[in-house]
Amino acid sequence: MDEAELLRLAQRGDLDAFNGVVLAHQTRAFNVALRVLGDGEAAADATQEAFLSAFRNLRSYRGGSFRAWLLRIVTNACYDELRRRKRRPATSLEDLGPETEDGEPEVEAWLASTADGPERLSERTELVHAIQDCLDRLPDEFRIVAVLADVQGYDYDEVSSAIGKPLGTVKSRLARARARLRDCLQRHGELLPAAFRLHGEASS
Amino acid sequence: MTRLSRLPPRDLEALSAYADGRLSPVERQPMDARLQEDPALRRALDEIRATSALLRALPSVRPPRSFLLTPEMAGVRRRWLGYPALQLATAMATLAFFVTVGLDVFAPVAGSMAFRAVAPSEEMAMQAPAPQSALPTEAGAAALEAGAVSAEAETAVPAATATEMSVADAVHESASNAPPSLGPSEHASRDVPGVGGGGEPPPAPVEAATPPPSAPLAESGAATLPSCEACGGDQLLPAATSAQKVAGEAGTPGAEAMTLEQPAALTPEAFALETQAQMEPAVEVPLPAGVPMVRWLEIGLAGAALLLGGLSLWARRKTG
Repeated sequence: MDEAELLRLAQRGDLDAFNGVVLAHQTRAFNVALRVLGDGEAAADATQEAFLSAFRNLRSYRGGSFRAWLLRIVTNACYDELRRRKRRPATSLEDLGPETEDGEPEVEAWLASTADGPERLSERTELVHAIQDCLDRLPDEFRIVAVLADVQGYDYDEVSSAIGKPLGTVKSRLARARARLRDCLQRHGELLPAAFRLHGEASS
Repeated sequence: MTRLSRLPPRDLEALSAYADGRLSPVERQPMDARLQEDPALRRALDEIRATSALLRALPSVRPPRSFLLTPEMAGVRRRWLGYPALQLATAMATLAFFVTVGLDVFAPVAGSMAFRAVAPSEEMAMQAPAPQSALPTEAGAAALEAGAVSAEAETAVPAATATEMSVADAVHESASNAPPSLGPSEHASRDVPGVGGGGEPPPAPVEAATPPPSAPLAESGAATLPSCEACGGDQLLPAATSAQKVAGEAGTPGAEAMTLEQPAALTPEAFALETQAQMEPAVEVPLPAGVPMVRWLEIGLAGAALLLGGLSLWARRKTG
């Protein structure tokens, strides 16, 4: 059964059909939330919240790209979580302080990729940590655009509809996010794989 | 080394969009020319591309758990079709229980009026058709009619299936039918309400209209109170005690005949005895006649309400 058919059934209240759609989108949705929030547990909660909200508001989905429609809901769930953190600065300060020590073991689990050998894995893990760290330092609205456009590869129009801002805003935020990330990543130069050695590539 | 963030914002945006192939042809040509001439700009473009590529290379992480929605989360409940009916039945049984308890409380007052009401309406009782001929649909209205006619009503009430719902229906029906069901003599006497009757205030219309299956005398008396007043309160005859006794006996078999599903049911014997009691001349003493039956009814209704409530909860848990 294709997605359109599942969605039609889900709109009539068929939860099993909707769960079929959840299965197809949950990894992508979770990864968006993970990169935006930088915390696996919060990302899982936001993703769950987003699917619940999607099911409840499924009537407002009127065809078109479900992926883009869902992306907007996931993005909103992330914004909600970010706002919650701002309202409770005490907990988020705790998170920020010992970030590189305490936060590590938990994050490790989300970042581990089993495709590589042990030594490459640790290298990779460090690189991934460096990238996530740089993402975390971005202002929220820049980070969301960078995650959607670069990490997840959504096109400008999808990002624009997801954050509810015009294309021009997307372009400008993405450009500034990239510039800041580039500056941040230069500090982790030794971690960057040869293919991504920015200086060498540029000067040769 | 150039820092990307030091680039003029316009150039940075243009390069970023250029890297993604999102510059319009009109914007692209001048940018191509500038890139040819400016190695710093070329380097900046490469850095943007490399940064973007690095982000895209972030591994996709497997979610720690599945986000499938359970019916509880989604608030979806596969309801059993009979569930609403069960809920309604529970509500009705509870309502009937409280109505009965309420009437039980008011029964002594109403009862005394009932027997005063019997005498003036006695002639109507003589003209009343055979009780069995009463139509079930008339049950509610009939239950409210004058004392003698109430004999007819009592046959009708058991005929009207007498479930909790029909009891409640009868209550409503009789409430709405109450005024029209009063005889001509009552209409005349209604002009002088609250007179006589030993100074007791006439019962509230709702109470009068509510037919407690176990206390038919009381209710019929309440309905016909004005007529009684019109005829004067001095129609008391010495047969009071015997009537009381007969009615008391009538109550007991009726209570036994009662089941959970048929709280309003009266056995034929009970009916006959009560009819006889109605035919007896008036009595003034408040009768405890209906009391044992009321108790049984209360117990029965309370039991029914509890049972139905328990069933509802069980059904809810099972289907939820």
